[in-house]
Amino acid sequence: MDCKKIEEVILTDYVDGRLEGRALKDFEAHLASCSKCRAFASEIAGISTEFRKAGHMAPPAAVWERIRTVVAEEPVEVIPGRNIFEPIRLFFDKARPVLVAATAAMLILAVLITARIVSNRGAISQEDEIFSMVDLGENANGFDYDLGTPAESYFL
Amino acid sequence: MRDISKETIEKAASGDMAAFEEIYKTFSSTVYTIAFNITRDHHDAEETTQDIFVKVFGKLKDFKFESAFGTWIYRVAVNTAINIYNGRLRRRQKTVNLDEAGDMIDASAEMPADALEREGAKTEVADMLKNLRPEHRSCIVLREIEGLDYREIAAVLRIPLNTVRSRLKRAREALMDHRKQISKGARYGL
Repeated sequence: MDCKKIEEVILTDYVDGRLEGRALKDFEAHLASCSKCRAFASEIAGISTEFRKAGHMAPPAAVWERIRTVVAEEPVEVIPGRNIFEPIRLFFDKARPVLVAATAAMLILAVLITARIVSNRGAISQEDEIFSMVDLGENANGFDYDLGTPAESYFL
Repeated sequence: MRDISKETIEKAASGDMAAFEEIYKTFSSTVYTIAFNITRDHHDAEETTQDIFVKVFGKLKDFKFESAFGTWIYRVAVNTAINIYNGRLRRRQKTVNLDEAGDMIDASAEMPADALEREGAKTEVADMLKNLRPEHRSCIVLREIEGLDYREIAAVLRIPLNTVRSRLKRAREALMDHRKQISKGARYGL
């Protein structure tokens, strides 16, 4: 086996445990017979050991305090779809100015229509009164002017 | 690779601080270790860790669960740490140019003279990493300290498997060269 190629395998697949089966057996057979490659593999393994010994480091407690402070000041945007009422709330929130304007317009329209109905009703009442007088005049001789139910007629 | 439940992520995304703290507790040492090993400075590592978690909190609602949450955190950690490291390097180079200092600052001078650097293996690792390019550094840290396999490293860094392999090879070659120089220096009393 070519020692240069073996070195490349040591630097990657061997030290990272990716060799298996026949390839691993051949590789180990070469290591057993080649002191130069054995020394190289041992050196690389030493580097890996240093890293493993170094391990993890924990950040100081103050880091979490700072993160919490910064994050607490940030507005939380609620994710649409996670709450079934959320899209409806979002719609009303976004459409609020339009809805206010539309409500105001509806109110004004309602007031105008009511005012017109009231004024029209007054005019009709006058006309109705004239027609009633005319009716009364026309039916005065025929006595067919309706005075209501028999009971009402009795009291009238 | 560390990971966390979907429920916790969703709770944190809707502003639940207890859930977010659980995420922090699960990943803070990983993030800080990656940040320190890439920036090689405790102050920068703290700043990076803070940036990463603030960024993560803001982006939680966008997380689609298409990949593992851990993969995503590792990716954000590596990218943020490299950006902070490169930014600091550019600022230092600019300062050197402005000051007409002549020679570049010795890489070892960037190392903080705090207690942690004097701690056996950590010092050794920090010393070895300072000679690596950031992309090689992140690869070797993910493999050797975080214990990620090639496939996981490829997913975190969004690079092909072969690139993971070649970066690890180059990183280890550089680490070996560095060790040889150190032992040569020691032999000649340098």
